Amino acid sequence: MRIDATGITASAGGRRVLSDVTLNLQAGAFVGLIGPNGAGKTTLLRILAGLAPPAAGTVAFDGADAARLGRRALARRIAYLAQDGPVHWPLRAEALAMLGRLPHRGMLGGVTAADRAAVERALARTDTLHLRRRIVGTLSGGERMRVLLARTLATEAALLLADEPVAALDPRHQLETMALLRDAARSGTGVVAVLHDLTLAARFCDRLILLSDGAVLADGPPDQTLTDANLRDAYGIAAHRGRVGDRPFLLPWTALSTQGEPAR
Amino acid sequence: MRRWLLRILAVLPLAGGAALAGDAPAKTQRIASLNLCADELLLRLVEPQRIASVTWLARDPRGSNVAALAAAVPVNRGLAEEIVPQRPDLVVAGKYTTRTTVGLLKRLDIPLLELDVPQTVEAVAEQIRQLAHAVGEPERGEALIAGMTARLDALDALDALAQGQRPTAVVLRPNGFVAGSGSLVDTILTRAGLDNLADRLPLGSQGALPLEAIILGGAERLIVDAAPDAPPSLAHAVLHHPAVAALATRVRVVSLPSRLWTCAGPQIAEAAELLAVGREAAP
Amino acid sequence: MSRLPLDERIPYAALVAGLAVLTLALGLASVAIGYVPFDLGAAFGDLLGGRATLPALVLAELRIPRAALGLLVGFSLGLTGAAMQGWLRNPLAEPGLVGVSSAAALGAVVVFYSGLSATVALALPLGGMAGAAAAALLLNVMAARGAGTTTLVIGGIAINSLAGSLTALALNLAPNPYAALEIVFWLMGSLADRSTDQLWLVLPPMLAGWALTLSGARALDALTLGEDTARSLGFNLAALRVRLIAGAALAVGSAVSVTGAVGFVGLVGPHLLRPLVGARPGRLLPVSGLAGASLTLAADIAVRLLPTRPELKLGVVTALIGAPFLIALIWRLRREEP
Repeated sequence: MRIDATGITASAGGRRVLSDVTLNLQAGAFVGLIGPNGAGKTTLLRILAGLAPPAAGTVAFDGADAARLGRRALARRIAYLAQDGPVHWPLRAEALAMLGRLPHRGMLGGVTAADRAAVERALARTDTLHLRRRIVGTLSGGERMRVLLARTLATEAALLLADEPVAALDPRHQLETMALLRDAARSGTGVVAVLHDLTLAARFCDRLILLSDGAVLADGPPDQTLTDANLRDAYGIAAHRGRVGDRPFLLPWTALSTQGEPAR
Repeated sequence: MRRWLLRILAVLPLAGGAALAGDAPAKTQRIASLNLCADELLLRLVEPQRIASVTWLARDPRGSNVAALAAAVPVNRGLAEEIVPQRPDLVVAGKYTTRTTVGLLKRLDIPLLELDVPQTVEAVAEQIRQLAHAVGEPERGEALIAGMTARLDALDALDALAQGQRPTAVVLRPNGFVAGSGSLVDTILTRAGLDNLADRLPLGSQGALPLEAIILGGAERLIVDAAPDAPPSLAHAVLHHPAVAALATRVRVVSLPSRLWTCAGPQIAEAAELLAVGREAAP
Repeated sequence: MSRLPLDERIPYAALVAGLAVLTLALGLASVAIGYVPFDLGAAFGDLLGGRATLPALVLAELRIPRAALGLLVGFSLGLTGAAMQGWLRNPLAEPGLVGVSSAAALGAVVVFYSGLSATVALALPLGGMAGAAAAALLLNVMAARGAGTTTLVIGGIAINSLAGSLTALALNLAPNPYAALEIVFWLMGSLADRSTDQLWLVLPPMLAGWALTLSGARALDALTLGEDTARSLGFNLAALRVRLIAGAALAVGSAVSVTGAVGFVGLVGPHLLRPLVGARPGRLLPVSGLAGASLTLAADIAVRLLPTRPELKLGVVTALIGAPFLIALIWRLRREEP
């Protein structure tokens, strides 16, 4: 599975949100989609998920456009996790995860053994097996996000697009979720996650796409994307860098004034 | 307080009728009517020139026996603001209709005659007499009464010939209303030689009944208020219910035009004659 | 784990079967319980044997169509209520409360009293459908991005009062003096003296409406997670909208055109059954239809057993049952949506 986006332009409310974005995604890698607020990350993710058409440019899913492929076929290949995804009814966790199987079920066919097995795997991978009978509304924020993630994994799609999957989690669950997404990528699923935490992004992602003002400022491995120059240009910040063992890390440290000097 | 009492006293004889009629020195010249039943009697008793207005319903041939006569007379919709400018010297109203207008007219001291709803042939005759006196046409009143009475008496003669063979009948009016004993319709049925079953229906004889109560009563004649061209209403839809149509295959259904039995007037003789024909088994 | 919750203890198939049996039992009770007792067995025998007795006639032309219409109308209202709640993701979305029923009544009133339905019988359900569709479309515009309780309730009040006053206007303009008094039927609903003609008239559009609505079950499940997620799960929400609006118009529009607007039926059933199906909107659809049918049949038996003459309007009884549910629901939603 691959997505080739070429020359994507999008606007919202009369404002240009994305201009001439070109990138491609494929299975097997954990890609972080980063950039400051308003850079167009969510807009881009929705376009990549086939949920919104770009104003200009093309998105090809395995070489075909979304209309030719059909929404259901696309749904089997791409799983999408919305930001602050609502759960409108007091569903049990297991039933919620089962929603991820909807793209695989026919108009009338019931739940198959394959569906049950996929849900079991997804609950196991998100460590939510013990929550299966709980009503979603009674879960903590971290448990809820993991169950929602289990729903996404249950689709067993080739690509998983997640909008801020760790935003609402405590540090432990952030680490666990990031590890989970990385493992999913290792096992062959392509993962694209919108992230705000640069430390986590640098540590877990194979590739980072840095958006700034609706354009791709950098696209590549973390050490090539999160350069001091890029951090200054995109976020207006400076970072501390260090090493844990052989792994580098990065910590946003200072907000810069527009001239590139420390603001405070 | 005295003024108020005087006003009551002024109205009472009007409502009573006879006292005023006896004293009426001159014929009233501008008479208005607020009620279809009053319209019918008025148009039959008085030449059109003396009528200020009748109700708009009087012109509708579906409900009125005097539609042709009413065409020559102005019409009102029962509002005081229509009646007062006509400066009537007598207003005839129904005892249970247009109460607001009647109340206003009373306060303005406009002479008023309120007609009750008679339940017997005698009361119908008395009402015709009362109105005829009030409008100064006693002879025409007596002629109407005589005509009606003669036709009804002729039916009694027929009934005597039938030697007590009185088929049971039940009436079906809009909304499933039946007519129980003591009503004028009951009187007409009896005069036509029919045995009104209403009082023996499973749910009683008053008001609106569900169709199943009327059908399971098992009457031998079903008298249906015939208004084939009435504007659509749920009230009339009951009369065209498939169950009624199915019933028509096994008992005789007599259609009686509603104008003949909606009001108490000489037309009840015609209603009774039609019913007497329907009394015979289906041809 | 102590005791299993209800939705885990009662298998879904058993729930559907149980409600179906209840509905059929109430349907038979509705045939058996009328105003005038008679030998039902003999009447059935006469009916099947083609003997045209009065009890057979009452059975065929009054009792059976009344019970059948009660079942169909109740199922339509219950099913549509559950579907609208799933679609708008609000447990208050009920055909009566949001104005779909009263708009259907307006459409039917215009067609009936203008005399159009006397010429073309099908015009009556079509009028009801047009009204229901108009209200559902209006609702769709107002609740374009999921409906908050306030939007829904205020929108419902607006549509209800507009449709109600236009109905009153149409009835006052109707040439028949009885018409003005018949607003009670259209706004409260009744199954009194309904006929087989009406049954056959509304059966096909109702079945079509049910099929359309039920076909949206999976999409309604997906909508639990919001519109973006539902679309990412492969559902075309524009098509779902068309199906649900058409389904509501067909089922509720034709129901209201022969029985008037019976309120609260689509509220009570889904509310009671949601915990029993684990709140899954798709599973809620058929059981809510059955619950609506049971409620309507039970209410219609009640109006005939109560000693009021003429009988109470059906909507009076369903409102007496449903209003406490509504109050409880609003109370709970108020706490959830500060």
